[in-house]
Amino acid sequence: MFHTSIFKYIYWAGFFFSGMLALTPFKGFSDGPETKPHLLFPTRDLFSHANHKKILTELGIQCVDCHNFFVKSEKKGPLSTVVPKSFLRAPRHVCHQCHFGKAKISAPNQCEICHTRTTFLKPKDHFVGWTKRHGRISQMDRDRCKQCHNAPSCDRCHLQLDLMNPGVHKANFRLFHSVEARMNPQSCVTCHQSKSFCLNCHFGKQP
Amino acid sequence: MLIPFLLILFFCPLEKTANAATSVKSTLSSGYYRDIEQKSHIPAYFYWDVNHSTPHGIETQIHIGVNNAIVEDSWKFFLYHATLTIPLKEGFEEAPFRKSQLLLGRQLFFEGFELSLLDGVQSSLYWTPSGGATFSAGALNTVLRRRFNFDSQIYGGTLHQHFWGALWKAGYFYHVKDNIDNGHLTQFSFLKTWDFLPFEPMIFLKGQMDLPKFSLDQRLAELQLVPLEAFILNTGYSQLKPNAFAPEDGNFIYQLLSTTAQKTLRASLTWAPTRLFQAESQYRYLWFNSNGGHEVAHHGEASLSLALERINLKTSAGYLASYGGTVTHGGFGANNPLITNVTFRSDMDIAWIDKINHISGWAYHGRMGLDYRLTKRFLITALAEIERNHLFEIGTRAILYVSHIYF
Repeated sequence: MFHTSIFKYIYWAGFFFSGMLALTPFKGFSDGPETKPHLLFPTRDLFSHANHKKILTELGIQCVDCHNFFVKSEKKGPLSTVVPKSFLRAPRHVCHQCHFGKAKISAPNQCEICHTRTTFLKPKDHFVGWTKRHGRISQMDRDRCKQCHNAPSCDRCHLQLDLMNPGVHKANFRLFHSVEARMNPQSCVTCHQSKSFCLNCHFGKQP
Repeated sequence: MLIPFLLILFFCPLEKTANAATSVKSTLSSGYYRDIEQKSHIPAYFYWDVNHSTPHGIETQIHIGVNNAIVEDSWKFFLYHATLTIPLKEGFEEAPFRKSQLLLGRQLFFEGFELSLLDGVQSSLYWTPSGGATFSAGALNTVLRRRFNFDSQIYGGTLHQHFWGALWKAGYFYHVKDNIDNGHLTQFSFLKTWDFLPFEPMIFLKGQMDLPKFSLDQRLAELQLVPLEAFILNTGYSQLKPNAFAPEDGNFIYQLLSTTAQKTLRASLTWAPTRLFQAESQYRYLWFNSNGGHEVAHHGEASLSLALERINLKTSAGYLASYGGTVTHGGFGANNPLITNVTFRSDMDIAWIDKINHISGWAYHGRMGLDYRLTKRFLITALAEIERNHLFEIGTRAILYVSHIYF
């Protein structure tokens, strides 16, 4: 009976993994999308000249610092072909000239105001068991994290209460938290350090 | 304590390095559900994150939360983070984030193996991009504590330096509890990667010693290998105890479940050919002693993450077994942008739970909803949740998030 169920698991796991492997040459795996910025909206909708007017004046930024007006029509004279508007657009990375420099706002808002899929901004080591390893690596080199994160980035998982949609625990965790607590009590006390946290539910203060 | 810091403030050369900037973000989350006794609940959580930088680089960061159970009209206020950062020296050209600075106020303290809230001061000092020191002094509080409590205090610091191609770190902390000497801890860490060797081995070692007892209370060793391109094998052993600096009842839950240090053997294999696809499997074996005797536990999990041009897919399956019972679960999640400013989100999980208290059965959980971006910095998320388990024949919840980055 035991062996039958094990083989069944292995069969389904193999079936599942082979299915995923079959998908690997799919369009999404080309190098292309990795280089895309994945912005919330197209750049023309993200950047507002009106909203930036004050800061650009303060920083002494001129039009030509962002836009390349050296593009000219092939034909000369007043009836020459109009240069396509897209040629005059500022290059993509020009935003970073200021936002990583003198007009820096707090991370991670800095990234989130434009980029929607932070998967594409993560460093490589964040893909190796990072949920379980990030604590000890940040304890080793805390300032490295500050390139993209600030204190509320830690607070969001370690301090903020959000019992409706907890970001840390899996679905159904409420039902099997006792099994996990008996497996890894050290993990519980990383965040739940107060006695009242257990008592609130187990003695009926909170439903 | 305050006078030396005011003197440093007075003498530190604050140059105009940037323009003043303010960044504010708020998130409101709420929902509705009925408990097992069919009582209605409407919890609401409001978070406010304010960051202000002056042209001289002085930064104020405040993160607060207000939580209310609307039906019971029970309000709670949380001050998660409130710091004033005073720059002492700008970062380096090759590492601008390595700044020498003073942080005053409430902040997270995470040194060695510990994580606590610190009401006090922390300072980072860098002499080169690869070497520096941190100092900490103040009162420690348990995470989620709302009151200020100065009974548990720490004083100490760490030194870190890159040399011989490795990162070395060592520190010492003196702990005072209720005005009584409560311990002297010393810590050390070592991290080195041999990129030029076959399998590119990486070794990470860390330990924490109780000096008066001369015992290595907590320790960790990690070995990482890259046997094939895009395959990463990470193995580790750890012996952990609860937070040595925890004030009051901070280790209550741990002491309830374990009487000794918790030991863990862990191995994970990750296949990450691109950022768009990762497959990971991991296994952990854990053991410790409790009041009931020797306890062992196993945990195995496999997960896949796939980011297509527009759609994000995640799936995972796992098994865990401990004294408390066994759980076998599997599930998936997907995010699919329908149009530019609307994303469909869904996830589901199925678990077979068999607990020591003779509760066993299937548990189903599903959630789906929409992210609607009203403007570029205003996001509304509406979710509906459904569950079926030994408590609820059919349980439903409604969840709403409103998140706004003001500027």
